[in-house]
Amino acid sequence: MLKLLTSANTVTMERIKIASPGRRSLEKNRDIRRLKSITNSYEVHTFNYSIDDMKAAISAPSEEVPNINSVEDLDNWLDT
Amino acid sequence: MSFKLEASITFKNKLKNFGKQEKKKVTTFINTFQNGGFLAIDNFKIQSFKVRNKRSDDVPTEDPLFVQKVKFALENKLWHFHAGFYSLSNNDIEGYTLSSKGDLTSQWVIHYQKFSDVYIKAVDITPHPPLDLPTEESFK
Repeated sequence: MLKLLTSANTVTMERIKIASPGRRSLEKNRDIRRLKSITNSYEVHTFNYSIDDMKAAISAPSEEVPNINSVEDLDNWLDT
Repeated sequence: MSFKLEASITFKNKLKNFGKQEKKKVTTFINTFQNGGFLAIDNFKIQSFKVRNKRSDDVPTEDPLFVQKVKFALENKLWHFHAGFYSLSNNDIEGYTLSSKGDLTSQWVIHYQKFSDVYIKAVDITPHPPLDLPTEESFK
């Protein structure tokens, strides 16, 4: 009985060993994709749309410039 | 694609005091950004010469406040665009001077914060050299 169990366990272990390289490969690919995803979002947040950027943009009073095509347009905006 | 250009009160108030020729140059800057974003002002050319547009963290290393100035420029994402008035040499190209690096520079520069390629905020206009960074007050 013990021998059978051992034998069964061995078979199981071998199955895992056979299955493992493929699974590890799948997991590795998934980890790389996740890492790329995290890296990409980190770059976006750091360089373009971080919370600090938005806070700074919102806290400092400013005015969106209307479409300016001529000095007359500019003067009209400056008069507002 | 839409491009967002904001202006601080300081920038707007200073602009009011300029003459028509100077306003024409600033109009070109604003119009160029509004039609093509950062890439357009970064590749703006006059008579095939590129107009200098650069980050403001390029502080001379001999400046006694080098570290503070670089930090301030980086934290506030400061850039400056050479406005086209006035040429500091006899070799005038529409208000610009052809520099030894082959690009066009002028005495006055437009300071702006670059939040992204599609979103900037003009904060000040000052003469140089030396290049004085805009103050935090000018962001308002």
